[in-house]
Amino acid sequence: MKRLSLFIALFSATLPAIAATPTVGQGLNVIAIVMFLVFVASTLLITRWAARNTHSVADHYAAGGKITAMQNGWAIAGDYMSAASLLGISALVFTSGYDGLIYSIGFLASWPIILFLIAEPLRNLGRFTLADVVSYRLQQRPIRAFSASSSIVIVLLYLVSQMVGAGKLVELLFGFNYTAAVVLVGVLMVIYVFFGGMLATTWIQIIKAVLLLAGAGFMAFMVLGRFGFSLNTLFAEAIAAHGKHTAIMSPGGLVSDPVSAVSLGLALIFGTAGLPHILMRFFTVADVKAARKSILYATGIVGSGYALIIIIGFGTIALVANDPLYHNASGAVIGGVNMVAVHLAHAVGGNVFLGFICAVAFSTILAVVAGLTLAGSSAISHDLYAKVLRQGTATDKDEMRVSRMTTLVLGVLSILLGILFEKQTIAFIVSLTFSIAASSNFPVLLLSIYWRGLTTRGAVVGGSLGLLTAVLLTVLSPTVWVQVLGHAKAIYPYEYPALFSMLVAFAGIYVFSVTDKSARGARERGAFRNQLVDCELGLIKRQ
Amino acid sequence: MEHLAATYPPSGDEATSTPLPPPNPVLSNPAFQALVRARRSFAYTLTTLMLAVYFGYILTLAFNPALLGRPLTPGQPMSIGIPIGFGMFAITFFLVALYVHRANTVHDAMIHAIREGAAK
Repeated sequence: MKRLSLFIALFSATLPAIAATPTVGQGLNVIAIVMFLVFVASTLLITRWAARNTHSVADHYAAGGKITAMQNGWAIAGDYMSAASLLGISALVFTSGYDGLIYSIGFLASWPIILFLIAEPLRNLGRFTLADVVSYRLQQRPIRAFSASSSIVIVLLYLVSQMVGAGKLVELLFGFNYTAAVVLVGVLMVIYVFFGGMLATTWIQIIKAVLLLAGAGFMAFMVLGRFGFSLNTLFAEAIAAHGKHTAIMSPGGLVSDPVSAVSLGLALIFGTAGLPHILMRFFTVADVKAARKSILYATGIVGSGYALIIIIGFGTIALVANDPLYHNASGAVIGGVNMVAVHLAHAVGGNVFLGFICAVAFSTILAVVAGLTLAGSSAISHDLYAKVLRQGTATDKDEMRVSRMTTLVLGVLSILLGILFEKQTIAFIVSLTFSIAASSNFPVLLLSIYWRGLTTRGAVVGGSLGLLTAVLLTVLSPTVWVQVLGHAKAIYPYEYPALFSMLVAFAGIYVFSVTDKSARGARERGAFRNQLVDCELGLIKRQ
Repeated sequence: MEHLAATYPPSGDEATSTPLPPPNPVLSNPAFQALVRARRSFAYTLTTLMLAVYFGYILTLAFNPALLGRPLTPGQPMSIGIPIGFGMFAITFFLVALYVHRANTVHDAMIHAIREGAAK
């Protein structure tokens, strides 16, 4: 508790410095800052309450399994809908119309796959991390080392994209400077996870998801109200306002060639099933039934959220695109196209609603980075420290201490990376994260549950090959090789790597498993039959 | 239900030195085998359905985008792609709801019966 007050003191000391920083954006937005302070104050209260209720590692990693299905459904939606969902997808609709819908469909389509294939076995075989599941019959040290490493790569990449996005967003929304904004986000996320663990993180996700859905619902309602609640009138106005005219009603350039289209589709639909901070959420509920119900709620919430965001996107075309109030002297949207939803909030709800949406966007980022940090620190403290380094001899107290230290380290690391990457083009990072998850964690997890023949050698070699292929092909693709590194022609001609990197992963796992003639491999295949019993009936004692 | 209850199996390096535990007796229980078959065939069917619908949509985008751009009714701005896109949300939710309903009723009852039976 002493440490928490110290952190809060430290945090409040940085506030005046932040608020005093002048910027070139819209200047200080007082209403937004007040709402943001109310949000931060309530999250800190939640963290204090959570800290008092966190006594064991099971509390810290999984909120003691006491989250209900409905709460977890909202928290999953909170984890999943980042600021990129609200701002990015509405911006995509603003620039190219229909294409925004394609992304959101892919994001949502991953949920049935997780439910049908992954969620129940994961809940039955695991305890805190996905490595618990894959190491059920494989050799602990190599498989946990692999699984923790790929999880950390995913978490760090995702954190970088969120931190850079957060810095730029807060700079624009509240008028803080970039570095101060990144530090602020880093400090808050460390406070939440360090003291409040999964319980605080979950409730912050829930509040954020409710705020986001309420804000998006109000905005979509106001947009439709302007057009007599007729989608056809909204579309007609959008077509009249947009430079591309009727082309915004049909798919545009987002998926030009079939290979990129299928690759993107694979990364979106299977990537989510390998994201450690999403998978971790299934350990916070009491049983398999609650886990599957939470996916039903999450799918409903995320689906409605995306449907609202698409309406908001068309609303930005109709109401923001030609309003000089939201454009600077040279005719560009103030703050860039990612700000169109924020401008729309002002157009339909005035300054107060603008402030509300700014605070929602910020809370969205905070909640997502807190979830990521917890997933990253559990991969290190539970998998690498407790199981690989100490081989299960670490006490709960040791493990908790290492987890908190790791949280601090991850906080510092993500602040530094956020500052380092300020000027970099990082648009490729989110799709890279999904591609890596779909090519490393997902194949290993899937085959460990369903394929008797999987051995440690196959999983480690094949999973690593998939990860490396995803990274390598992304570097050689037009998005990085040409646009970031400035070469004339890309070596790998397609936008996304998942089609090939997933193929490499599955082929690698298969080949290196079937050629594994070791006694260990034979034993691992033999252990599959009893795993099947635990997988189906869920009999593992948790404590 | 003692012989059924599992704790975490021997793990890590100790796993290679201890003999493989005998098969769990429930494996030869016909009710258990029926459960595994019912669950897996249902999950695989729904997965195939979801992937077919999703990649059908993605491949239409890639090969015939103009199809989705056609107006739903001539003279109106709404294109065919809009109801199809929102329909994708609806299908996704429907498949999830279908799975949850069946798992809550049929599969959970089978699991319960097997656990009860084994406990006797």
